[in-house]
Amino acid sequence: MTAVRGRASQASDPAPDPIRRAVRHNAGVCIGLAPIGFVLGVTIGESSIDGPIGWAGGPLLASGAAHFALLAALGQGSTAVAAVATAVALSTRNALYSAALASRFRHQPRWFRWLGPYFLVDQLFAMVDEEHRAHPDPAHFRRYYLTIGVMLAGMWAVVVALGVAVGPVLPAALRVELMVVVLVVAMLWPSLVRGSDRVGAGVAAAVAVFASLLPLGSGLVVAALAGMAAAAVWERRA
Amino acid sequence: MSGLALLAVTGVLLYGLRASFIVPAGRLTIPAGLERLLEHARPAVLAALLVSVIVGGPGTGFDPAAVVVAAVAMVAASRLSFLATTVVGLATIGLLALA
Repeated sequence: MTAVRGRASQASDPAPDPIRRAVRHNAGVCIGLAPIGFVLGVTIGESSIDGPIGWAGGPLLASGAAHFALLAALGQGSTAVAAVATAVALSTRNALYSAALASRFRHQPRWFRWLGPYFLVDQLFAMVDEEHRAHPDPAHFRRYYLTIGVMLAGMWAVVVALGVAVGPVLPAALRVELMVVVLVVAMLWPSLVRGSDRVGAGVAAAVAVFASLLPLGSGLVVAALAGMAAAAVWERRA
Repeated sequence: MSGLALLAVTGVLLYGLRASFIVPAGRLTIPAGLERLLEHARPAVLAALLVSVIVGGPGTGFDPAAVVVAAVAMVAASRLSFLATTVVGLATIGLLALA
């Protein structure tokens, strides 16, 4: 996210502090995600699930989308198995993130290979993928990754709890869930540096329009794979 | 199944998805072709995610407000910092609520 963060690449810095960089880069993401977590808390408060148990879903799932999906499925009277299947299917892109980051974890200690995946969400993936290109040192990557992960998890736990406790103080017309769109655009834009990136994003977006008709959010993975393949082909031909 | 058990089971399954390639990364050899493909994951996944949110899935439908927010965010992201873009996004959502 070099351009979006409004900074020049600092790859030439002698020893950039990964923790300070992570805090600086993650501040905007936390501001954008906080209202979404708050709405999730309000949704928990309005659901049939007990407030503290619903809140525990935040740290247990570490995924706002899956948490929303689980609550919605249960609210619509789905069975437990169907609700879990919906939440898991919506999160299959996490396996793609895992595969894309596997090479970055190859030289990491075992404890980090077990702990790191817990924090793996869309925003973290975008930030650490960018940071690793500028600073590939394993220790730098580890500290940067953990700082972002702990910040996001801590912020999420607090704002979801606030939503549960304070309740529906936000007017219904204020659709803060649209902040997801803002965050995705803000992370996507600076990743469109190379021609292959733009081709991959374009193909993925076009396929996603039609693939959205597929069940259980599987269209997202199909579209992403199509975009990745198109980008790889483009890069090979260039 | 109690609510907490349901959340715990889902959490374990989600962790499994996230850990599927990372935990065995030390002894896992990803073919070079697949590794080249995965280099392009970020823009492709984010673009697919963006369109999925806008057009919705089966039973949810197209969201015009999301298009407006996405357009404003794109203009902001092309000129402003990440933090400023999120503030502009929040302001746009606020204005849409007043409209």
